[in-house]
Amino acid sequence: MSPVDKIKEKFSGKIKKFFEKSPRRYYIDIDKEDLLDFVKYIFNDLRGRYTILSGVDTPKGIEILYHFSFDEIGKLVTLRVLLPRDNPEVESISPVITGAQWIEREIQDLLGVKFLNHPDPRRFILPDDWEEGVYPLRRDYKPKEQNE
Amino acid sequence: MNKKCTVIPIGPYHPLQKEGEFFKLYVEGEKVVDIDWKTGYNHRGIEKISESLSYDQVTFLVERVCGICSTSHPIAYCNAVEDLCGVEIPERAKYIRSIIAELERLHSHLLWFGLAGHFIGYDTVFMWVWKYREPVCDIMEAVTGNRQNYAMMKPGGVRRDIEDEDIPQILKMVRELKPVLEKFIKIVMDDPVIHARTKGIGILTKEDAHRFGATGPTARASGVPIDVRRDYPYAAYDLVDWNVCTCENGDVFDKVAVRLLEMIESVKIIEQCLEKLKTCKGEIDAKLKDVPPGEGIGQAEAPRGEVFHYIRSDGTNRPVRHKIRAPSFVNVPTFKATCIGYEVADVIITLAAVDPCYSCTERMEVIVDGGEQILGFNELLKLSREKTQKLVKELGYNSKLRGSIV
Repeated sequence: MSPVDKIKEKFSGKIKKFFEKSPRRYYIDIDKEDLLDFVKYIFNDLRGRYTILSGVDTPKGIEILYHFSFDEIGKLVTLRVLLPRDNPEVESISPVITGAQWIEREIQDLLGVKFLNHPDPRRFILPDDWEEGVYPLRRDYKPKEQNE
Repeated sequence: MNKKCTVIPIGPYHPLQKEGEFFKLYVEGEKVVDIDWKTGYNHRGIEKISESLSYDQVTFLVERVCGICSTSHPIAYCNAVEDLCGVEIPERAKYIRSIIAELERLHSHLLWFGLAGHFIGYDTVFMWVWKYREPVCDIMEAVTGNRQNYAMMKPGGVRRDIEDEDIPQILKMVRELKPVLEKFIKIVMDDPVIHARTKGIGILTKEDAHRFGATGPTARASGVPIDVRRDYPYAAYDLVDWNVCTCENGDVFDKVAVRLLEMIESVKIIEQCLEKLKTCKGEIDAKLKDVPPGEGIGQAEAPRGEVFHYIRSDGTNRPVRHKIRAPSFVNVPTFKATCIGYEVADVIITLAAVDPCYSCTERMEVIVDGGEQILGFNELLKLSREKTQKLVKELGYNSKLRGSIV
């Protein structure tokens, strides 16, 4: 049984939407409360390779996509959680996946998402004098006039 | 942190480096006890700029993400757009993409190998290897018109064809590289000083590679057999015969070995693709019209590992979101596993072994009982070179390379 089927079987009640874009790309929409269960299962039990997280600001809210790669069979599984724009908070996956620390800090800088229980939530790529509460990848972000 | 702990800042800028990064090494005596990283010095907001450009223009933008692997980003981006649209590119375009990508791997690995020699004090290796990197750049210029930033890719195909009359010349130049590469491999395998400096240093275990999500040669040197070219076939990699090179120990030596062996495979791939171009005629562009709403993911195996692009489209001519992940983003955090516990003199080659576009050491700050002392990049380089010199003396080793040790 392929890892994708295993995920489907184990979390049959928790998958909000399952979308097979192509035989190599799968998108699974889940609730943010179930995120850690999914991540632990995929990363620790199925040994999926952590690839990266993408944060997207959409009209519905802020989406975080967790990309995992199953290299032996060449399939990429993406978990998707939707966070409300007024209070975007989600459990950090860094305690499970050490390598995810940087990207969570980056998303925190650029989209203002708070990752709960992150081991090292310092500012990552924005300059030290960047204004608090201004997130450059949000849709409502307006860059300051150059010569003001 | 212990007050007697010495802090060595490496960075943030160096002209050799294509991204500013700043490492803080915490050192007790000669031993590294912790490492910290600060970035953002070269954050150009490319993901944000991408949202304001049309799909065709973005190709040239992402070409400028990196000056050395300047074709892997366009390929990954084109893969993402093609994944989003669900189109297949013409076969001839596939071969051309592979040729460009492999030439780039050759020049990038040669560049890195030269620098690695420089870091351990073998400046002859540096000069020598870079001499043979020149013909690779010349081939690039012959094929694309540019030594860097080739501007060959476009969503749906490639922008320029390789003419039939050029193929014999390119083939000749590529074939001339083969004996040179074999010579390099022999040198590395035979040289006792290189063995002493790199074996058992900066070991990345298989488990750590998984923990940090390491990719490319960094992961393959630790025995993780992943390669996007094989696992997610793109361009012409499923149409030609080649092997994924892996090593088992995960130390610096294996990272060198993996890259050298990979170059032989690259030459093999280029030869086969050029041969196929002689018979495979036709279009080089699938003529992509509109990009439908949806999302697409594109991957490519850059010289340093997997490049990952995520595109979100709303049906207009511009991406709504374009996420780019370069391989160094997941390879650099492995320093937490590979530097701690080793000597300072070994760290410079461990950091270089990941090939993180690293070369920058601005100054060295030594905190001794609260007092501060600032030293230069040369101090750290000197430490590394002194160690090589010491080893040469101990081994009583005499070779042509010896004259090169500064």
